[in-house]
Amino acid sequence: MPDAADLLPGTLDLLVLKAVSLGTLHGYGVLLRIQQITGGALQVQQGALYPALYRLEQQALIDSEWGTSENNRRAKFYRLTPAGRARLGTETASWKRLAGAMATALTTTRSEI
Amino acid sequence: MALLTQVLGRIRAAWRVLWGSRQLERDMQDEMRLHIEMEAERLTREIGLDPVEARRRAHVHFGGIEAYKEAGRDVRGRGWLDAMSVDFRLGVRMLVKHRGLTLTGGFAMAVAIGIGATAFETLGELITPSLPFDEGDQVVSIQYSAANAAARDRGVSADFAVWRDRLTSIVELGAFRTVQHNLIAPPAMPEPIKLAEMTASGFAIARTAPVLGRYLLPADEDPTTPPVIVIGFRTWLARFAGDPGIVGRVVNLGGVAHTIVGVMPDDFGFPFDHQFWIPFRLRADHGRLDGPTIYVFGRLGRGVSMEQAQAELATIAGPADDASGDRRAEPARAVVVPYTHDHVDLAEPGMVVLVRAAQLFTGALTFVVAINLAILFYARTVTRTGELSVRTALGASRARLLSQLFLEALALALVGAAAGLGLSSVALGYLQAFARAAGGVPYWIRFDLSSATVAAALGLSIIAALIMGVLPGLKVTGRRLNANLNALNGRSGTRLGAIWTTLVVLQVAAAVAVLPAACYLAWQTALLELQGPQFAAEKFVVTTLAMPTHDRAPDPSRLADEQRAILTRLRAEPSVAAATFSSNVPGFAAGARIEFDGRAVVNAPPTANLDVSRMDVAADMLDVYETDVLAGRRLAAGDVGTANVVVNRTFARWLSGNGTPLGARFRYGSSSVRPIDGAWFEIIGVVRDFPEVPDALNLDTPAVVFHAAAPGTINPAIVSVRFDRDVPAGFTDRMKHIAAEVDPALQMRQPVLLQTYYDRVYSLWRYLSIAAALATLSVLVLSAAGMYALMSFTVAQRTREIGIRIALGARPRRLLFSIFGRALRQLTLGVVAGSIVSGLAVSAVDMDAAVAAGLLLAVASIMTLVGLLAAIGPARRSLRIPAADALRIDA
Repeated sequence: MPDAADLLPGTLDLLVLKAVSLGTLHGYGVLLRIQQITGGALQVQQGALYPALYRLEQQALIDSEWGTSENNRRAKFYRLTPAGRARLGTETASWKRLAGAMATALTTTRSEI
Repeated sequence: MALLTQVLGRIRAAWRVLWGSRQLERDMQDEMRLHIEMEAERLTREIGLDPVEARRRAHVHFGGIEAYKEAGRDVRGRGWLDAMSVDFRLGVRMLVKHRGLTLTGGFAMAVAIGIGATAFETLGELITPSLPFDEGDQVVSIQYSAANAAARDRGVSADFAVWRDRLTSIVELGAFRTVQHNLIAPPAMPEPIKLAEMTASGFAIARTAPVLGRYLLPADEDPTTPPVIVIGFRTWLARFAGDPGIVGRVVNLGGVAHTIVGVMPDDFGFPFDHQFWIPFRLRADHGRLDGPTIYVFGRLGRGVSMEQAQAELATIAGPADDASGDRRAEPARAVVVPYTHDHVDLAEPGMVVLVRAAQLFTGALTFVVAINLAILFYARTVTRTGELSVRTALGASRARLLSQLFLEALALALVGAAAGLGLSSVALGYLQAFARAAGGVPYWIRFDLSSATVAAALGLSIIAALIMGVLPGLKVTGRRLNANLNALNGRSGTRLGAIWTTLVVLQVAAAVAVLPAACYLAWQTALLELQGPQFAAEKFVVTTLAMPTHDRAPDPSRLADEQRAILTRLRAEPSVAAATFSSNVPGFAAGARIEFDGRAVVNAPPTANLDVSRMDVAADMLDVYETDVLAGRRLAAGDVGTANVVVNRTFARWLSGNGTPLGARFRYGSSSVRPIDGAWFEIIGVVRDFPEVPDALNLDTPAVVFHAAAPGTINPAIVSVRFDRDVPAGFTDRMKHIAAEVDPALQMRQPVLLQTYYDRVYSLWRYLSIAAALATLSVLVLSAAGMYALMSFTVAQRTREIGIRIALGARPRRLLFSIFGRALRQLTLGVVAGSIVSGLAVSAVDMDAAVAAGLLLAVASIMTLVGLLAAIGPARRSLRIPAADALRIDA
């Protein structure tokens, strides 16, 4: 496996929204879900996850509730709110446009100019 | 909907941040700990690490917990909150550490905010009054008003009947007048009470349900129905002990039996400040602008403006000539005004502006105090220059430092504000109780701390904190970093600039300027209290004896018989030495102007007119008061109805130098060319002054003329009872019983010791002098604190120099003079400037030159002494600086 790449600034929030959109998760679960959906290609500072979660909760894009984890521990579970779902949609579309534009730019050959 | 959900979510989150911070901290701690534990378990499970190593590596993978916690707090908005909390707690610690500044500043702020809040509340009640019931702002009054507002007339009984029938824009039209009757309801004492004789529509307008029974109904206004009365809640408790069976009870009101039909709630006093209501029974035989004084009120119809009501009224009520028949007066016109304005007289447009200006002025006192305190804060902040510079070097922004200084000042300002609001609450409580007892204040005006006043006080505190903390901070934090860092080595070039030293001088000058007025007021008030009326006023009881005159003048012969009967009964009481009557309480007679007959007064003074007080008295009144005869004789029974009068010593002195006043003739004059009464009066005796008012507060003993009067010619009359010994307990109640036995309609109002009567009149000056003393004390304390700060600052700045000079053998006196010379010059300048202002103020009032000079000298000395006392502490510190310590600075 190639070395994991650092996250670009501003992308952690999007990944968190995506991870939570796939199911209610606690903080550690969000980390594992991100590693799973990225195939381990992105390196996430584990502690940085929590300021991101709190920021998204402050913006009412995700909601939280205390519950019991799979190993019977008290854990805080996060779920996506309707506003969060809408934001995920717009950010995903925006990212796709950006990625598409970058891919086009980076694959341009001399003959295409 | 999504937006609303999002907003509500944010509000919930902010609420949790503000009020659930500890729980949030615990949650964050639990979350992160769980994460690390689960990561450690994964490492143990998947890689086979031992638990200790797995845990260590989990911590490494996680990163710095505290840093992420801090980031989490910042994200939630806790960062700035925590910083403010720390600064505020530091500010409170500074208050404890610098107790002198705290006490000085807290006291001064408390006085300023107390005065400001009290004035704001009382003045605000005057200009923004509103009736405290539903749609109270729709209630209006109708009155006649000529172009000259003072020419308002209330004799509108005839017009009221017409308006009630024809007006459609004003509904529930009603009227009331205030009358007084004797209330006889055992076991309570017979007592004259003030009643509202009011139409039933008054209760309909107020829309206030009674506590017991019912209120007045239109049927009660029919003169053929049995008389009824409604009472107030306070009366029900005080007079009837809260009797639950009060409804249906019969009481004697002015000799007529009335049935109590209801009790109104505690906060109800419509139409003005009433506790008793009886039906209004309108007589139809009054002409326009004739009849008793009544107030007409009503409610604007739904959707009707005051202008529309005024227009309709103009079509119904044409102009009316003045009832006196004076054809020069402009015809009066009926006008509609807001009900509360009618009773608090806010018709003058400039009145509201004046009151608002007064509110601003009293509020500005806080800023004056804040500027004074800013000097002290500046002196303290300058000594912390090094600390501030180090914080700046470590990354604190200027805004952050100013925020800290602001919060430190805010801590003090809030302490002062809390104490000031407490003072204000007490003062307003006294004012409310005084207003209730004295009457004459509308019931909708309540003197208590409203939320608007508290908010205003908090606003003042914040502005004061900006002045005290930020202004000095801007100056201190604006200096170059290197210069500030040098302060750590004691080589600061920081000085108290020209502006701040000027403020210190102005502070001293203000104290010197204010002190003479406060001292004068206190001295004059003490004179009033100490000297008293100069006769045995404690052996007299006085009361007002009145026969009601609501609809017609009383029968003079009946009145005379009853007054004689009262006096006979009183004289028969044990321990009563004598009883008499007069038109006024001695010392408070009505003023008049007289002109002398030049033919009968030898060498009459150039201005042959004199302002006097006229008293009509029983023939024996001067005997009862045991007045000393200085010339001629006292009045006798044969002087009733004649031109013989007796005058007091003050009157006689006015004529002194022109022989005896006996035989002098005068008549009462008026402002017009024609005198009111052309009869001449002749002086047949001179008695000593009683009461003899001390020459204080320009309350000179008036020149008094005593006329002999017969019983029945004075109503209401002042009855005076003299005792040989102390007044027996319960005698005032006994007097009320005697009056009720002679005639239930006869009112004996507020019998009281004459000495108590005089004390109440002069008590206002006492309260004024207390307030002035409090304000002056705060000014003095601030001035002393300012001088202390100035001296301390000087010592702090020149520590090294002082230590070296002491080591070299400098003489203490010379050393002190050179160090404090500048400060002493500023003190002298302030004293001189203040003395000049005081001198100008003193010259504007009529004060004896020697007294004025003595007062100014005393004040200047006091202020100089205060300044020197303030300098003692810093001076002693300066002389104790060890040379070794001084040399260690800048080593």
